[in-house]
Amino acid sequence: MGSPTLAVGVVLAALFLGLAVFADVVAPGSTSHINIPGAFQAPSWTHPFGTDNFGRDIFGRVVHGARISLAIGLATVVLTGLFGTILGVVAGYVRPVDGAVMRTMDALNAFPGVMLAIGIAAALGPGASSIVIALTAVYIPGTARLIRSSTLLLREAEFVLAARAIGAGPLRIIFVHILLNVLTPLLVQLTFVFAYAILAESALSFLGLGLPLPTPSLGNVIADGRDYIREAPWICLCPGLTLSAAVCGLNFLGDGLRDLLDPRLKVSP
Amino acid sequence: MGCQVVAGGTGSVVTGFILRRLASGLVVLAIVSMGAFFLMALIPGDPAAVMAGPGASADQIGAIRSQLGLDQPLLARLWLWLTGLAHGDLGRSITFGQPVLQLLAQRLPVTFGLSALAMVWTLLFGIGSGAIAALKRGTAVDHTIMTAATIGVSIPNFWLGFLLVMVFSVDLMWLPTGGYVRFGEDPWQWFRYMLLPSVSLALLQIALLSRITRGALLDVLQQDYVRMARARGLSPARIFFRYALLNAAVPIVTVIGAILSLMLSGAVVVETVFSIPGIGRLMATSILSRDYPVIQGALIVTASLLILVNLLMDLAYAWLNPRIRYA
Repeated sequence: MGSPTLAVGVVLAALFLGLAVFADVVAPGSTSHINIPGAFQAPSWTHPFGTDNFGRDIFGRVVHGARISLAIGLATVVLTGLFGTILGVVAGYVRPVDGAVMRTMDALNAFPGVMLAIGIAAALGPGASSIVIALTAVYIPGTARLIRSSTLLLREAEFVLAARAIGAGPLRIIFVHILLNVLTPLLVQLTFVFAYAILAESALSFLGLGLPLPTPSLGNVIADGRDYIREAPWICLCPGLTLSAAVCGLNFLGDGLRDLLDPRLKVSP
Repeated sequence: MGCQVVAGGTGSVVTGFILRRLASGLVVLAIVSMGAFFLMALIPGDPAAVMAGPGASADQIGAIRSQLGLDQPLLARLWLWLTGLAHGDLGRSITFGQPVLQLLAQRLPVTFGLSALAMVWTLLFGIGSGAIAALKRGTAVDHTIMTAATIGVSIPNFWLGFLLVMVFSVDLMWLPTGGYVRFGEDPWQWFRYMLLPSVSLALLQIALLSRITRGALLDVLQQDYVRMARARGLSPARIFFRYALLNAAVPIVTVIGAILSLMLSGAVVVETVFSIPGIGRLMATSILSRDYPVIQGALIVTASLLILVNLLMDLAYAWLNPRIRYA
């Protein structure tokens, strides 16, 4: 199932990325333009996802919302990758600080993820940067733990011992031998972080901790439709399907990459 | 005599393991307590003004400042917070005017009930589907279950909640759209009100557990003792239940804490969708009313619960897998 999984993942993820990056081309015009006479229109060629209670084009809002979700997901991935790697390598290589770093990671991990994100985002106030900081705090412990365990194995590997024996310093060992070898598990982990960050962002937006309205994000576009499930189910259905397909694509991509890069961890036969 | 020495040695090793885990749990709890305290320090500007909201008078802001001790130095507040925690005092809610612990205690049973029902579905369908996938390895059934599991972890639970309401409450009118009835009041009504929320909450965990169970079972089914049991002519059912499933329980137990953590996270959203008066909805409404003491309290109570559950799971793990005890 390795290659079909990867292929489906690549296609879905590329579609999502394409829509988000070319949002202005795919859905030009304002996403918050109110047109009450055109409210509650069912999906059609003019409005592929229909219109909402304000007559706004839902496809446009979804595509532009996807861009915001993508930006938040990418920023979370970059920060999580950066800090998770630094903390994981330091904990795994510099043994005296291992306990302090990992107990702090355990403490962050002790909070239920969305609750911790809510706590941090609520304290910092609504906004994209608050969500990115909150989600980074949630995903750093898992990434740091993964990098630490890889570092612990690598620091005792024969090629690292050999490098040390011929006089390589700790910085050279970390940058040349350890960091290069943790890139594969890190890449797979960050693909999943990307997927979960997009899901978590939608949950925070749904709870009112996202970007201020009327800026669309996939979470608040879905939330907009909850009061009209009976009359206009497409308001809720179309953005939800888009979000699920995007996250599903990223999960397939992560599974496929893992199977491709490390067959020992293969989930599927 | 020799036996007694061995037994005593085992006992001390087990006690040592428990004490080590307990000490580690206490350290994490201490960091969590301070983390929850410093959360307030993240609030930009004057926390009292932020909590009072726009349009609040100077007196109202002053009242909140003195209620939360914000007029005292940071270290003094930290000391007050930690000593308060030691006495079970999590502060007072700004919105409700009640002690935070009391508010949480009223809502915790609701969230427990919801999580317990979701856990039933998770264990039943997660282990069940994972076991079927492992037994049918490489077949269309296996591929279908694993693909469904990936789709399952990709669906936002609040959207799933809306879909379930649309089908089962609005169209078919079989179940209520939201609300809550206490279990003690009417168990059947409680079940009807909890069914859709618990399914919304469980789907992600079912998908995760299904993948973990499949992996664990495939690992066990390839072990020599399973081949030996087959060679001895034991029935497939006996091999599966007596040898495979029991041994696969070890990795499954290790993820129960993580599953519970995901459930408490999901409860914030699911309780909001279905208007269930649990700890998750309390937290969601506290965000809008900027009731930070409640947010802090909910964080610390849920984190403490998870630390306790993880400790118990570690002990269960050690009990199930003697190699851990002797490591």
